[in-house]
Amino acid sequence: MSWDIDQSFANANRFKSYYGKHPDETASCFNNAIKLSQALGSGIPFQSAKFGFLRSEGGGLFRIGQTGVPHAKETRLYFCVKDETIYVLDIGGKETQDKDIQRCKKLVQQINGETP
Amino acid sequence: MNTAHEDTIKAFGELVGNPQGVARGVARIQKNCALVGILEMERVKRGISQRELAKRAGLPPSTVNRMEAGTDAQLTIGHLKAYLRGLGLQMSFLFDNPSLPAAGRIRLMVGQIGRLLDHLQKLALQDASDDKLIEGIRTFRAEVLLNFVLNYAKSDIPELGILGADDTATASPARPAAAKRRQRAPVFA
Repeated sequence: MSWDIDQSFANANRFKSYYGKHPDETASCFNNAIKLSQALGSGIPFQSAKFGFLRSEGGGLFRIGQTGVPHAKETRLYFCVKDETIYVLDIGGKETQDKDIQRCKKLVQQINGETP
Repeated sequence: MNTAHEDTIKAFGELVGNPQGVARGVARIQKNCALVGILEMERVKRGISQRELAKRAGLPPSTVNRMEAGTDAQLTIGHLKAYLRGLGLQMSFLFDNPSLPAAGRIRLMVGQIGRLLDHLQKLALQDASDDKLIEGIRTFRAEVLLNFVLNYAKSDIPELGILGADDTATASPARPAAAKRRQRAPVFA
């Protein structure tokens, strides 16, 4: 059993663009998202899933980093969680993180029904 | 990887407009980081942070972080042993020789499995209070080895069915008669 991974809030154009430039890093982040969903599905509480690639960005937003890619560009796959579902939101590098986080936090509010 | 994960990989692939590319990329990562992934999951399942694992293993936290962010090829035996020590685990090895024909590889693996089962039996005997456990392991060991011999005795692979102290492949497919002359009774001890 695994948690679901929902991509309906992800901007396909942004993902396509990033994947085109950094396919290995993107695949690695996807793989780590699957590992996380597997761990959560096995009953590990989200707060206890102490993966090295997992970080909190505050406001219910989290990010997954790439692993296993030598000389990788530092990549962040942004997501939030709700009702045993991982909502994949965006992907980007360190240089765009401020704008990516701002954008994603609005999506988190939307998913949690917090926007007016 | 199970069907649900295959569906997820496919969905990720469709998101970026390259399902085959993503599937290949994920498969490559999983292959290159199979052992690292197992270690990391064992740590996470136990609710241990990287920092705590590092303390238990006697390793710098940066080393643990680097191990888990790297590939299997980047692991050193020393760090691997320390990491496992941090988890309270030990290693066993099972070797395979891809240069052997399939029959030889099977024979090599079964011999090693037999020795691992011997080890389990000795461990069970150390806890003499649990007769059921001892009997269970003994029965399992005998069944595994006996079934292997019985099944492959019926097969059309003449070089199988030989179990002895020498677990290297000694028969060749071109010389079944020679293989039969070398057959000895299976060793169960």
